[in-house]
Amino acid sequence: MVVLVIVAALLLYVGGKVKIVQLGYQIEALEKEKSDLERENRSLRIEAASLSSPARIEEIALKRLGLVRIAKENLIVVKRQSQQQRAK
Amino acid sequence: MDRRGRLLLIVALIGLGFALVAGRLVYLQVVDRADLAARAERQQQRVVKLESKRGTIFDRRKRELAVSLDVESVYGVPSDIKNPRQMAQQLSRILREDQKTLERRLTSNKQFVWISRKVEPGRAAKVKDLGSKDVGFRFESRRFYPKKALAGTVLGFTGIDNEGLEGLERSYDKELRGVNGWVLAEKDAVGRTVFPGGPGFQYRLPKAGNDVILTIDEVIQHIADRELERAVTTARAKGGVCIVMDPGTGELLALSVATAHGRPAFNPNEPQQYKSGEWRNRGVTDVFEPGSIFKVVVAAAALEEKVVHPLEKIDCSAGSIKVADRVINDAHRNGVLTFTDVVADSSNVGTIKVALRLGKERYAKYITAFGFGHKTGVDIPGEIPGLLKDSRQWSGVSIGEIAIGQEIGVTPIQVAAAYGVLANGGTLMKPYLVSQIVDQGGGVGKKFEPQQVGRVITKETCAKVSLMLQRVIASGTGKQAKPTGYSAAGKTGTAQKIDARTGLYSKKEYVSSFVGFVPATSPKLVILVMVDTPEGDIYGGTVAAPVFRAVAEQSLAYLQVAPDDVGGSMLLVNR
Repeated sequence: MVVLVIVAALLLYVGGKVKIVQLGYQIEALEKEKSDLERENRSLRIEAASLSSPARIEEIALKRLGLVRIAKENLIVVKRQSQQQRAK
Repeated sequence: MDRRGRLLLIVALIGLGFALVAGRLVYLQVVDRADLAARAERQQQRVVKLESKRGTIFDRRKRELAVSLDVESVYGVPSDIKNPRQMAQQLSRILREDQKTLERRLTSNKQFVWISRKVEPGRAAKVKDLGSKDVGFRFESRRFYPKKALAGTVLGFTGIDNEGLEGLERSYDKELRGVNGWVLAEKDAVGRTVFPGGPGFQYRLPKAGNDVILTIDEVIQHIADRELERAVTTARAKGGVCIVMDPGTGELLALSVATAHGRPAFNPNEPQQYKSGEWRNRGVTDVFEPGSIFKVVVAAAALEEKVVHPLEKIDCSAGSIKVADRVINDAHRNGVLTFTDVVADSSNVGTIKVALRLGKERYAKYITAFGFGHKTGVDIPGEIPGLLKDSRQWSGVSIGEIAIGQEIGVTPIQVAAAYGVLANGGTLMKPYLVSQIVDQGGGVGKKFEPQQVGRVITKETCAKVSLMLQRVIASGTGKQAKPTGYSAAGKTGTAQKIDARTGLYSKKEYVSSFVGFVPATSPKLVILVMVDTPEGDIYGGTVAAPVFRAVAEQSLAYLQVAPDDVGGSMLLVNR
């Protein structure tokens, strides 16, 4: 009888230790997944920064989209009338 | 022997066997215990290095200019490789490494060799596709500059171990680097790492590097890069510098250095493609003789000391002036000019006459007050103080030569800071590139405030000089610098370079420059343009002034500064 109890206790003890190791593996796998995602996030951020560089945007605007710089003739400065001028 | 005897003998022998085993067990468990336990620990435990992330460098609007990313490095275990030659051949094709070098590494006696470090993700994938079990991958941190050549000579670059080698990567290396951490982990029978957790779990978290926020504006930097490169290419010049600075604070919004015409702009992603001189930030590391842009120092000093009045008439009709034992000529004949026109038309004779009125002592004092002869203290490595002789060592003719910007060496950053004095009402501000350091750990970061170096001239003198410099653009040598819609003030410069072989002034090599501030009525930007050795046309008014105009127009529009000089056309609108 006593032997059975001892064996059961030992099994539980060893089982607990095994579970700890298994959880350790799981944690490591999740940590790896987390750092993989973080790495991908950074990589995408860098790609976004590269795609939005002024040189690239300018080239796309000028060459592919056919946009042009504002010619000085098309700029008209508009001045708001001041209060006194309007009262006249 | 009888049966019983034999049985006893067998039992005794078995008993002896067990006793020996038991004895050995006791020996191992008790006597050798400490030693064996330590060996097991060494085999089972390993210290895992936790690499710190290098901080990011941002522009003033938090746009990424330099970022670190983990990429894979490829290694091999030579003792396991059966056919090194074939492997080297396959790998050299994918990784673009020299085949012979790879083969040598793969046939060495080592347990571990690097095959190629920090490779492009696409290439790492191709190596994995080979399916070889004899290569392994490890992540290492690599620096990327997503905007490529933009502000390349300001950012600098890092080496293979992420140490800053040039530029801001070097001068702020300690802030950016962070501190590596470690964790004591256990290894199981197959080599997988298990973190034991619980009490006794030893680790030190890595401290991420700090982020650095610059004063540079990505868009204005691009404008300066683009316009300067265009001018250097058109003039087939050896290089150039363009600086855009906020005169009130000393913040540098753009610091552009152009490589020689025909050479690509410096891209810190590939420093090995460039010659060593090409990543130097020539805005702070190189001197040049400024020529006529230096005349503004005489003008400011003379007006401050009241030895001349802006409308006073000065006789330049002789076309030349004798100073001590040398004769200095004007570029073209002038008549009798007001002092304002002496500056607007850049007359050497008129300028020297006024410098002589100032005298050596007072003039030297103002040169130093404007910041020449010592470093500005800008936070990028390699700055030099320029070349300025102490006034006690001036020869008789020095005052004349220096007045017209010869016999003195200045850096572009010094000139920009000096013109900042005129633009902000008379105070010399320290130019700087970094506005903030952000602590990743959530701690308090560092903010850099504008620093005043000293008051140089009064506001009234600044106003007088500004009017004269506006005249340069309105009717003098700087007409091509006038930005449409904005008032502007500035000065042209066309300075002979010294021929390195003869030590005399070159007849063919010049430095063309234009420096000024916009809008003149309420200056927001100081812009300096310097083009080194243009071919053909060499005048500052035609080579450098148009760059000033383009940078001014586009930068002010981007900053949404209202035009203040629209000439005739104005619409009045009722609300």
